[in-house]
Amino acid sequence: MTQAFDYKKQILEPIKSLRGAPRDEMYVPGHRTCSGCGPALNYRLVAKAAGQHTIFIGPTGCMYVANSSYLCTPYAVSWIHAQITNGGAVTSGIEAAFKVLARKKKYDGPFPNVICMAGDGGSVDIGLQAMSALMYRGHDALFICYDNESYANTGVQTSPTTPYGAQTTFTPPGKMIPEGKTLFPKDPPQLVIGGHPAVKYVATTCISYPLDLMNKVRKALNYDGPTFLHMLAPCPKGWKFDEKLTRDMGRLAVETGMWTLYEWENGEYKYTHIPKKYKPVSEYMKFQGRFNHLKEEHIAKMQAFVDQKISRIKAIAVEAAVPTPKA
Amino acid sequence: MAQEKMLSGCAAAAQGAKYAEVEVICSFPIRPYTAIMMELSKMVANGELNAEFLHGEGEHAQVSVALGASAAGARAYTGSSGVGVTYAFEVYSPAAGGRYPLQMAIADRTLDPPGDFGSEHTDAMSARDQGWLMGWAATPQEVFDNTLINYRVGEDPRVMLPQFVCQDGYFLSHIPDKVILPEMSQVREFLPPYSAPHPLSPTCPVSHGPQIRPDQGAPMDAQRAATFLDVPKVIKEATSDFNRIFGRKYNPFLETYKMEDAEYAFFIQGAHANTCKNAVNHLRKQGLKVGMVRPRWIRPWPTVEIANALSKVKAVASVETSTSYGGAMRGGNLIHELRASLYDLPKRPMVTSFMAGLGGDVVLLEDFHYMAKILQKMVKDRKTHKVVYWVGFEEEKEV
Amino acid sequence: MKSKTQKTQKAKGTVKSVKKGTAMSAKAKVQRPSPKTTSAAATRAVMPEDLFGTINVPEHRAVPFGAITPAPVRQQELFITSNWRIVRPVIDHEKCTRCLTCYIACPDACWSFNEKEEKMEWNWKFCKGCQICINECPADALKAVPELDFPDGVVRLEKPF
Repeated sequence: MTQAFDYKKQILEPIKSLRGAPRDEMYVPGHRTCSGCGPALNYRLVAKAAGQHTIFIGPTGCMYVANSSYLCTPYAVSWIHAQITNGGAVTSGIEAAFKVLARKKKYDGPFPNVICMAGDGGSVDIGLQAMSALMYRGHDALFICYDNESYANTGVQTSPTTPYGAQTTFTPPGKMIPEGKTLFPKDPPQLVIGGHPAVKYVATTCISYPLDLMNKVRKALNYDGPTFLHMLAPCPKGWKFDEKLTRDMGRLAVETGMWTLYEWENGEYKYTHIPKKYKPVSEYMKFQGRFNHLKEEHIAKMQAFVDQKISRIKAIAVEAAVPTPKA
Repeated sequence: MAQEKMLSGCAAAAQGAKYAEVEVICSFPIRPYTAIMMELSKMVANGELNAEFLHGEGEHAQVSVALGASAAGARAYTGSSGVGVTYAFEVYSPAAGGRYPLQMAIADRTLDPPGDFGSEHTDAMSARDQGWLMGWAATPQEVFDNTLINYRVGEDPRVMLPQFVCQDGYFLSHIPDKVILPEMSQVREFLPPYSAPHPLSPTCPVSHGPQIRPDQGAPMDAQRAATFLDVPKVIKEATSDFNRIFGRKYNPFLETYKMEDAEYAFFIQGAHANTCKNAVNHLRKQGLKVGMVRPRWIRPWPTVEIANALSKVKAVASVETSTSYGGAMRGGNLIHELRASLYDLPKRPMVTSFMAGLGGDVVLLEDFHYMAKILQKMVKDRKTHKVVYWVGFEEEKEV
Repeated sequence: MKSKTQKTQKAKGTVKSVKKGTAMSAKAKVQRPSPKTTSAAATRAVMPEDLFGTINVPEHRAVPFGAITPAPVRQQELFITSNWRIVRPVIDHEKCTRCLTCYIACPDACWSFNEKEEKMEWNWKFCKGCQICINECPADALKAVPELDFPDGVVRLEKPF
C-alpha cells in the first residue's frame, strides 16, 4: 500500500520541433548494438525526451547485453540491470524507495523519472507478471516495451509479439509447418488497458515518428502513476532487412496497418498518423527476409488479421469513449 | 521504554524490522512466515512505521522489489517460506553480487511435493551458495536480535551483502516466548542508517551491473569470496557491540552448551536446539558427558570455531533438519560442512548424522537419547557404523 | 543526493599476496584440557587462524565493486565503434537544409548540429556506417563513400574496443 503524499516532479514540456528537442544525448555513442539497430534509436529518443533526471531499469535483452558490453554503458543517467523476469518489480522497488526517502527527508530533489525499458519478452512473456503488478500497484513509473518482435539477443527466437508467419530460430518454416510461426501475437497495450485501473495513459510509438515518440514519452512521464508505451523497434538482424532501411520499416509498418499509432488516455482512444489508404501488408513484408518463405495464402491470412485490426480503429474513432472508473 | 513481551518468532521478526526502521517492505503470503507481513502492514497502516509496503506479485518479485529499493538507497525487507524461497532463487545471486544489503526473513517450510506446511530447513539451505549471509535463530528473542545484527553486519561497508535471517516454521514462528524489546536509542546506537556506496541517483549517474568481459567472471567471484574472509571480523565487532548495548551474552558464531568437558556432542541449528539442551541436562544426570554446539551463522560457516569447539569430543551427532538427496552422506547437508571443518584436526571426533525434524516433525527428548546411545555405541565399537540415521524409522533395529 | 565513495576500497575485500593454507598436522599443538578447565582455556585454538589464506585479484582483472560503473558523459570512450564501418556518410553542406533528420535518425547519435557554425557535424569515432542517415536525407545531401578512400579511414583498431 503506497501512501499518498505530495512530491514535486519536473513537468516536461512538449517538444514542438526537432530544433526544439533537447540537444543533450542521454544515450550516448559507444554501444555494441547492431549497426542500424531500431531499439537503440528508440532508447536514444526516449532518453532524450526524459532528460537528465531519470533512472532507467534495463531487464536482460539486447538493450542490456549489447548496450553494456563490456563494463561500460551508453547511459548518461543512472541505470540498473534487472533480470528479464523482474523489470516491473525492480522498478517498483526503486520508485518506492524514492517515495519513502523523500517522505523521510533523506532525498530532497524532484521525483525522478523512473523508466523500465523492457523488450517484448521482458514485457509480455517472461516479464508479464512483474509488468502487470507494476501497473496494478499504481507506482509512478513508465514501463516501456521496446518491441523488436523476438528474443533477439539470444539469436532471434520467437516471442509472443512475433508476427504470424515470421521465421525465427524457434519457428523455422518446414514441410510440416510451412508458415513457420502459426500463432498470432499478443497485443501488449491492450493487455494493460484491459484490466489495470490505476493506469491513466497507454500509447504506441514508432521510431520513424520521433517527435510523436518523444512527446508521448514526456506525456507519460508527466502523469502521476503507471503508464505504458509500446514502441516499435525494427530489428535489421532479426527481421532480415538491409540495415539502412530501419526507419523505412517503421513507416511501412504504420502505412500498412501492421502497426497502429494511438494513445489511450483515461478511457479514450486517439489515433495519430492514420493513413488515408492503407498499403497492402505485402509492401511491408517484401523487404524482410523473415517473411520470404510465405505463400499467397499466408500473406492473405496476415492481411485479414490486419484488416480486422484496422476496422476496429474506424469503429472506435466513431464510437463514444470507453468508460473507466475515475482514479 | 524497554519492555518485555510474549512474541512468536514472526511477531519478533516484525518488531525487529520495525526497530530497524526498514523503509521498503514487499509482501506475499505463504505459510508460515505470513504473520511477519501481517504485523508489518498493521504498523505501516497505523503510522508506527514510516515505510512503503508493497504487495508483491510473488516471491521472485519480493526479492526483486527489495533489490531495487536497496539499489536506490532504502533499507529493504522481505521474507518467505518453502517453495516461495525457491521461487525467488533467480534473484539471490544478483542481490549478493550487486552488493545490495536487503534482508529476507525465512520461516522455513518443507518444500513441495506435495504440500506440507511443516518446518524443514531445506528451503533456505538450498540457497546457501548464493552469497548471502545466513543463520538460524533458536528463540524469538534471537529472531529479533538477529534482525538488527544482520542489518548491522550486512550494511557494513566492508560487507555490503544481503542476509537470510532464518527461523523454524511453527516451532519458532508460531510459538510465543519472552522477548525484550529495547529502547529506540539503543537501536540507533547499534545500527547506523543505511548508506549505499553508489545509489541509483538522478543527480550522480551510475550504471549498476553492466555485462562483464568473459575474463572478469572469475575475478568477480574471487572478490565476492574475499569479502567473506572479512565478514567474521565484522560479525565479532557487531556481536560485541550488541551484547554491550543490549545486555545480551551472545557468542558471535556458536552457542555452546556444557561443552567444557564434553566427550559427546550434538551439532544442531535452529529451535530444536532448545529441546536438545533439555536432553543434554537429562543425559548429564545419567552420567553422560555430553554437550551441544549450535551454529548461529552458517554463512560464513564458522569453520575454525566449530573445529575448536568439537576438537576434544569423541563423537558428534549432527542433527539434520534438511535434506541433501544423493549427497555424500546420503542424508542432510550440515554434516558435509561439519566433517570438512573437522578434517584438519590432528585427532578427529567421529561424526554421524541423524535425520530429524523433517516435514514438520517434532524432535523429542527420546530422539536425543537415541542419538546419544548411537554415539556411545560408536565410540565403544571404535567404528562409525553408519553416517546417517533416520530418526523414528530405525530405533528398534539399531540399539 | 551525493554518493559516498570513501568506503568502497574496504568493501572490495583483502588484496594481499597469496598464502597457501598450511596443513594442521605439521604445526599445531594439541591441547587436552582437564575436566576442571575453564571454558576459555578449553576453547584454546587448535586450528590455524589462516586456514583460508587471502585472495589476490590482480588490478588489471579486478571488477568494480558490485559491478557498478560510472556513467559516461558525452560518449562512451570504452566502446569505440568506428572500425565497424566500411562506408561513411559524406555531407554536401550546400545541399543540406539543416532539417536535422540525420541527427534524429541515427541510433548512435553521430550527427549533431553545430549552432555556431550552422553546420551538421559527424562523429568519426563512433559511426558504424549503417547508412540510415543517407537513406533518410530528404535533400539528398548525404552519400556513402568507402571508408578506405579516406586518409583517416579506419580499417582496424590497435586493440578491439
